[in-house]
Order: sequence, then C-alpha cells, then structure tokens
Amino acid sequence: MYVEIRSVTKTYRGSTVALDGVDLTLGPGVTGLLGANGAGKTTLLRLLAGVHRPDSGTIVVGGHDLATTGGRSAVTRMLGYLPQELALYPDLTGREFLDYIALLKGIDDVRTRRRQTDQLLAQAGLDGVASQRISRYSSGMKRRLGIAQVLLGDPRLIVLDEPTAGLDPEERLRFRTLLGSLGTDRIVILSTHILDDVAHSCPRLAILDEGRLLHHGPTAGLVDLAEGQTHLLESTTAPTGDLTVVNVTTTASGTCYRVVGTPPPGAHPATPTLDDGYVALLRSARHEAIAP
Amino acid sequence: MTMLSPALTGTLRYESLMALRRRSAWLSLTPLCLLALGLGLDSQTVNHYANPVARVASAAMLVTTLGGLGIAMALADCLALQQRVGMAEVIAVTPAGRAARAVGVVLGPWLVAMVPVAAVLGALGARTAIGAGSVTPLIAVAIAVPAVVAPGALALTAVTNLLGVLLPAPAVRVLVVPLWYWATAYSSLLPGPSITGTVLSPLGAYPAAAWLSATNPIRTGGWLHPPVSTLSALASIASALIVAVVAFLLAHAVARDRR
Repeated sequence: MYVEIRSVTKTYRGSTVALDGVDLTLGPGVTGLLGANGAGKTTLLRLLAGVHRPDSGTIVVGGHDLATTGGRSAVTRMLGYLPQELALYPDLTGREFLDYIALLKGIDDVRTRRRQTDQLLAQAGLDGVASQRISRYSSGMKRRLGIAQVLLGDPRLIVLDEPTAGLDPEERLRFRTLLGSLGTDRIVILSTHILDDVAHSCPRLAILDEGRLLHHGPTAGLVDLAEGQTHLLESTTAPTGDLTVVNVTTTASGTCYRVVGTPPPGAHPATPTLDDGYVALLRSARHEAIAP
Repeated sequence: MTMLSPALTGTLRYESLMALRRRSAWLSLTPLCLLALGLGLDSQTVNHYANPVARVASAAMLVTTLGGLGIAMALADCLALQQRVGMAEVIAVTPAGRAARAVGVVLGPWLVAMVPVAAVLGALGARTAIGAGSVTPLIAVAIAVPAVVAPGALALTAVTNLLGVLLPAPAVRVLVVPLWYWATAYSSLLPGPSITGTVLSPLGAYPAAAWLSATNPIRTGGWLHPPVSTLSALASIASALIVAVVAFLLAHAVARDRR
C-alpha cells in the first residue's frame, strides 16, 4: 500500500499558504515529518486523514482517492489518527473511552473490542488505571491513551501529529518501543520537532519548509548533507560569517561552538549528526531562495 | 445482529454516561425538579381539580415548565462539548455516520435528563393514584410524559444546543429562562406578543386538554388558538418537534462550519 500526494495546495482564510504544490509518496514503514512551526506539517497530516480537503491536487491512499466520498469512506476504515492536541472526555474512564472509539470505528463484536482495549491499555502502560476517570490522568497518560485509540482496529495508515509532545523521557522511550512494534507492513507518518525521535524511530523522513517539500528520503541521507560542513570551534566569542551555530557547550576549558556552514578560522571538522543535516538543508534552501 | 449501528449504540451509551456523570448538569436540573415536586404537591393550581387525571395533566404542565427548563440548562453545552480540541477530528475520521452521531449526541444525554423529570411526574401521579384509589392517574402519567412533557423539553433542549454552539454555556443558561418564559407563561402575566397559550406553545396545554381532561385555558379563535381536539393536540406536538428538528439541524450545521 502507498500514499500518493500529488501537487497538493492548501490555503487558509486570510490567504495563508499552508501547502504549496507538495508531491510525496509514502510507502510502508515509519516516515518522520519535520519542519519549523508553520511549515505545513499539521495541515498535511489533516489532509491525509481527510479532516480537511486540499484546494488543488490529489491524495490517493491505497488506491482510494480522498477527493471522492467512496475514497474517504474506505480510508476511514484503515486509518488511525492522533491530532496535535486532543482534549479527551474527562468523565469517561480510559477503558470506556477506548470502547467508545472502537464502536465508532465500527468494531461491534464485544469480545473483539474487549480484547483490543485490554491489549492497547497494556501496551500503553495504562492497564493499572484503566478504570479511573480520564480527568485524573496526567498529561502523559492522556497522550498515551490518545496513541492507544489510534491503534484500535489495526489501522493500515497511521497519522500521528507530534505524538511525543508532553511525554517525559521514559514515556518517549515507551512510545518508541510501541512504534517499533507496529511492524513494517503499514504506513506510519509522524510529525515531530524532536530530531531524536526521528533518528530513533523513522527510517525515512520528509521535511517541509514554508509549505514546500524540501527533502524526502532515508534519514541517513539527511546526515550526509552536512558532511564537510560541520565543525567545532573553541572560542571565547561567538563565531560570525556564513554559518549557523547548531549547539554551544560550556566546558572547563572554554566554550565550544558546533557550527554548520563555512568554517571559521581555528575550527576543526566534526562528524555530522541529524541536527547538522537538518540545519544544512535549511541553509541550502534559504540560499537558493535568496540567489537570483 | 444488532438493531442499531455500532456508532449509534456507542454514542448513545457513552454520551448518556457522560451526561449522567457531569456534575454541572445535575446542579442545573436537580433544584428545578425538586421545585416542581414541591409545587406539584402543594400548589392549588394542580390540586384544585376533582378529576385525578386532570390533576396529573396540570402537574405535567408544571413539570414541563420547570423540568423542561432544567433539562435545557443541564444540556446547554452538550453539543459545544463535542467541539473539544482534537476529539471532533478524531471522530470525524472514523467510519461512524454523521447522522447517527448527531442523533446520539443529543438524544443520549436528553434521555438521561428526562429520567428525573419523568420521575417527578411519576411521583405526583402516584400520590394522586393513592389518594384516588385508582391506577388511572398512573396511566395518565404514561401518556403525559411523551405527549405533554417530552415535546416541549426536546424543543427547548435543541434551541439551547443551537445557542450553545454560538455563545458560552453560562450566557445560554441565562438567556434560556426568558425565552422559555416567553414561550410558556409570558402572556398570562403580561399581555404582549408571545406564543404562550397558542397551539405553538411548547407547554403541552393542547395535548393535556385534549387527552387528559385538563381545563382548557386557551382562548379559541384564529389559527393560533384552534379549539381543543386531537388534531390541534397533534399540531401542537408537531410544532414543538419541528422546532426541535430545525434547531438540531441548524446547530449541527453551525458546529460543522466552525470545525
């Protein structure tokens, strides 16, 4: 199964261009969606989930065109979706909430619903609080319950908008394990600001900038973009020039600047990371935009 | 094979459960139900009837006036709560039919809120039945709940739900009082343009008079004041249900547009 996004454009009221001619093909496995705030990530995910419709272009999921009623209906039966913000029903327990969503997903067999909710509550580490009202859950527990509802009905397309926002480090690790257990036969796309999540969970990534697709390919390929551009400089003053400071570390011997771009005098090469690759890509895109 | 779709079953079940557990709903409904019970036990307006069935009919209109208002106030934010961040999106991308969801979201909590209102009328009917030594008042209650109380209560709830997607719930709870007063009691105290006393009033006076021997308090003449009959009683019920359906459709259209 593939998701094919062709020349998709979306403009909101007030003429804000959220997506500008995006072409993207997603195959089985986990794809990370990166980009700054306002880059168009959430809009793209909402279009993929069928919450909104594009102004132009097509989105085809497993052969089903989301522009048609039949296509949208078919996709709802294979979709699990977690929006960026999710205010759950405080008056239901975790188990009741999952049962409710399972019914809305059309799972009408009681035993199937019970088996799935029990399994997902355990996977999300919520089995001990399954009978407590959601109003008593921490924000991390609510987020995990939100992720659990995504997996009801064994969806073939999983769309996650910043799933790890609000999770503490331990919960993030648990989420990565959960993501890893989904297998490679379904399409998972997750947007995030956290490069570490992409590095650990996403073999492929797509990067949006100001509504345009900047990069799509293997995650390792992004690191390669910073090859030869990443340097370390120990200095008492911040380096200047055609460079971007990625990181600053203060040590006993002074301040160490990690930079991407034209190396300042005295800098020595460093092995690039995903952060460096991301910065190198954005620099390259901005240079191209400025160039006549 | 189930009679209802899983989406409708789930929506009815869990929206009812949430309404049952929402403390703010009971804070609105309980005092008005208790007031209706107290007035029903003590009021001369109710108890001056010699005919036990007419006494139940009069009690039903009292319960409609106060209980209907209580239900509407309790459920003022029921549709607005469906628009909570993210949940509307999660539900929109499920295969659940929009119509099934819309009906379940309104009907589930409304049925829950109707229970204490019907119980108040049941209690008043039981007291009348004991006094009269007859079960007829209890049969009258069984007719009065769907024919007198429910249509008006449903209409007001739907109108309140519509206001609830446009305005904050506290403002709606304040606004709904004069609106209900205008529709059910206004002109009996202050003459003025009002639907009170007409066949369009959601108070249930026409069904109460036509089927439960309540004294006809309505001036006859003109199409808004037809003589009491089964036809005019059905027209009165139909007008309340039409208001309910129109307000329901408008509320969902507004809610969908705002998503």
